Amino acid sequence: MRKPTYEELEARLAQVEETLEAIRRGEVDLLVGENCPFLIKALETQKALEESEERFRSICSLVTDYLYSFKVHEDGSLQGEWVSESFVRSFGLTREEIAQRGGWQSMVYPEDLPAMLEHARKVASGNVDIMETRFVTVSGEIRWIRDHAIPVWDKERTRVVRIYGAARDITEEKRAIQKLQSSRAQLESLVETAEVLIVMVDTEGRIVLFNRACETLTGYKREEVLGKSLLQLLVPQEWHQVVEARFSNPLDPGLRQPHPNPWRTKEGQERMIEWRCVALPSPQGEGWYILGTGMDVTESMRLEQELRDTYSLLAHVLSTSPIVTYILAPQGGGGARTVWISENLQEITGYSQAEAMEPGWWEAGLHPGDRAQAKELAAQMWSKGRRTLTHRYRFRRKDGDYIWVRDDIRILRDERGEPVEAVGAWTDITDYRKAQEERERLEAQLRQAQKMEAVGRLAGGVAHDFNNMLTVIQGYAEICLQRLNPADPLYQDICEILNSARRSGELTRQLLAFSRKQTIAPSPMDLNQHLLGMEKMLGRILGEDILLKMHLQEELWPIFMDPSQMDQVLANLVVNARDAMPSGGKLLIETQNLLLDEEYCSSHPGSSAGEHVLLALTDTGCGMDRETMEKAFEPFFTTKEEGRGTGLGLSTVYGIVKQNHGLIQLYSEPGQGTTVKIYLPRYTGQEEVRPLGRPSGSEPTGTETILVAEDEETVRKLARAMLQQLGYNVIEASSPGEALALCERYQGEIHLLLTDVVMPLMNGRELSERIRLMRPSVKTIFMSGYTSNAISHHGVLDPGMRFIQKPFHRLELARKVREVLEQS
Amino acid sequence: MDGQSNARQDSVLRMRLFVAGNEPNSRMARDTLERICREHLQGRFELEVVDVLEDFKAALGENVLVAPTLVIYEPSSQMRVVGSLCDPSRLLKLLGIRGEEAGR
Repeated sequence: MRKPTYEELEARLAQVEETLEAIRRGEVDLLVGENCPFLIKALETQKALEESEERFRSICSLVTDYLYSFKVHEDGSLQGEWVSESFVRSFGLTREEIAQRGGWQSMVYPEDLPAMLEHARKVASGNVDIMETRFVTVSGEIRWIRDHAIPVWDKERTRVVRIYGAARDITEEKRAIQKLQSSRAQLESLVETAEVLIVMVDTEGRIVLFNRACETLTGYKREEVLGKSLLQLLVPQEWHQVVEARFSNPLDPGLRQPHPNPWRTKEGQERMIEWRCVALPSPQGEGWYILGTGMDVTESMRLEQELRDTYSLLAHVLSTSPIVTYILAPQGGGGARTVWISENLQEITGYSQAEAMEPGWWEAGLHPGDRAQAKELAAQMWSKGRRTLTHRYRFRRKDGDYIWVRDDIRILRDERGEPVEAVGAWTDITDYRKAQEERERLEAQLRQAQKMEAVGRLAGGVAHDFNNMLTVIQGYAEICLQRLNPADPLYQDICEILNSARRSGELTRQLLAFSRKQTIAPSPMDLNQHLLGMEKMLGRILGEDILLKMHLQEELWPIFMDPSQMDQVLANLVVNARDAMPSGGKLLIETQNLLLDEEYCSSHPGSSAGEHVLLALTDTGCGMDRETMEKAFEPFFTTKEEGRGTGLGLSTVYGIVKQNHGLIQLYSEPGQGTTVKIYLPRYTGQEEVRPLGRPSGSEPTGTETILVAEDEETVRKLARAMLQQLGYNVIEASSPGEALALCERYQGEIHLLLTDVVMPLMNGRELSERIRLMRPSVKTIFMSGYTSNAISHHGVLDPGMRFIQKPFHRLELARKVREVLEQS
Repeated sequence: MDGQSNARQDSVLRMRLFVAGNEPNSRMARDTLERICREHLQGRFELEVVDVLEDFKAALGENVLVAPTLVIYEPSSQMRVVGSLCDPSRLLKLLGIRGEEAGR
């Protein structure tokens, strides 16, 4: 064989190396020996070993646990042999670096080192040991490790030669546990300190949780209730079924909804509790625990009920109240906005609530006459310190009518005194205002009547004395005339005295009529007939320029009145009408049957309800203003020129109407004429209406004996003189006592007593009665200008009484005396 | 080098693959080589597969120590590749076949 070249050797060597490499790689199936080829299956064992090592490395790189091995020297010291990649990753140190830093001990958290050394010693002495400890990383971070170490013995098991260990990083786990523990503690303290009741029952309905709130409410201590049946211990019997049903269906979503059911406390009280429950899987895995949270709503339910009651009461009150209630809120610039207004607004004003909320509604409804003032007051509502505000004004209803409103506002303020809102109440005071106006009017009328009464008393008093004087003047003047020859120069003078006395007498008569002191003798009367009888005379009073018309109702009811009074009334009214129409006009006189109802009477004091006869006089004259009308009935009030009127005309009419229980009304406007209406009650008595007719003819005379009783000497003497001239036998007494004495001792018959009514010690009536006891046939005539209750009731003579008005003249006296004497 | 390979492409390649029966590496080497020849040397090769388990003397004659071994006969010398031919790119390079073609 040729010796190979260097290059060939080189190539062959390379070939061998390549072959070896292929063998190493396991790519070879067979070796070619000198004698036979053999398959290299054995090589596969090695390969498997390598694979296993590879697998181990891969696994090591996957696990996050730190795996390590230590060699244990014979002296017991440890030497790190290997540590997994995961450790290097977490701690940033290789085994070599750890060795350089002073071994594994340098990495243990100093506080934990003693325990850790003990752990190592335990394992090195042949025990398996687990321990948790803290390690510090290169960056200074502390990490919790749970180390699980096992000892590895030598073949003879005489000595531990290695320690294998697996350490797990439990930092996160620790943190999680810590977190869990702290949140658990929080939760427990929450449950414990919660105000709400927290209770839990197990699958059998036994109490397993019972917080402090439950203890406080029930009075039971936790130890007393845990393990006991909730139902038996705390739920009142009548609620058992409800609660049982609820517990038997723990997954019903209704369980979470609030539902009330009561608990009974240890002391036996029932508290209503509102529960919300939730079912939790039992720790045993089967069945459900029920956790309930509850609030004691006993008080709030009671309050709610009270509130509901109050609310409904309030709503009821508001809806039935005549008072509109509203709430205002302040608005910039002193304005106000209506926030709420009660429903009854509609009923009272016709406006809806929505309409009232419109801005400007209130202002628009104000009466133009009240607007400025109401707005000014409203503007003061929010002013500093103001708490209340009240005003009254007229407000237009939706239908256009105005009502009077009283507006009371209460302003609510916060603690700084700033206005928060205002609550107002609106009262319809229209009726009240009307009544008030009416009352004021009535009061004025009453005042007027009282004034008239006072004036009347005064006038009547004066007239009484004055009448006595006139009677004397007139009487003696008449006696003088009797004795004088009409041709005598004194005759005319005395006639003048007599005329003046008569006119004066007329004046006093009018005064007495006004003061209702005039003595009258009323009788049933047909007013129409009376008017027709006077028509001519009235026409004369009116004159040619004034047209008199009469509209008289047919079948006019009779009235009860002294005809001379009616004459006075008509004469006065017609004179007034004439004076109101100086340049002519028309006077209408009407009569009418009329029924005055209660309502009319209630607004016209002095009137009484029932059937009346109306006498109305309407002129077309100058009329009166209100002021004049108010004073028209006052005596001595006159609009006529001085000297033309006495101021007694209407006063007289007024007095007469009043005396006859009638009513008089004036209707007048300046320039529109005047209407006087007189209402007189219908006469319903039995007495027939007497036909008109006035006595006339000569003076009747007689010879009978007449007793004259009169304390006023002049009058007594006048009466005596007149009666003697008429032929009578006169005896006289200056007092009732003297009159009685005369009656006793006088021998002859006394036919007639002519007596004054008002005398000292005894009045005329009493005297008359006493005399009639002694001499029953004696007849009586009273003479007076002034009535008293002695002979009359309010001036009206008792039936059968005879009376002669002072001042009287001879003819009157002659007729009256004869009339009485001839009565049977 | 291109020129070399081009020259080579013109000629016919003669190869012998020594295998050990149907053992895994041998099977892999044969499959790989046959695939390469089929894909890259259509009509330009001569391949003889020798099973050493049947004829180990041929192996000895060629000084082949292990199976599988591929012997490529060049005009002046020969090349050998030992192993399972698990890296076809290396083989293609030895055979003078361009990488792009191999990848195709």
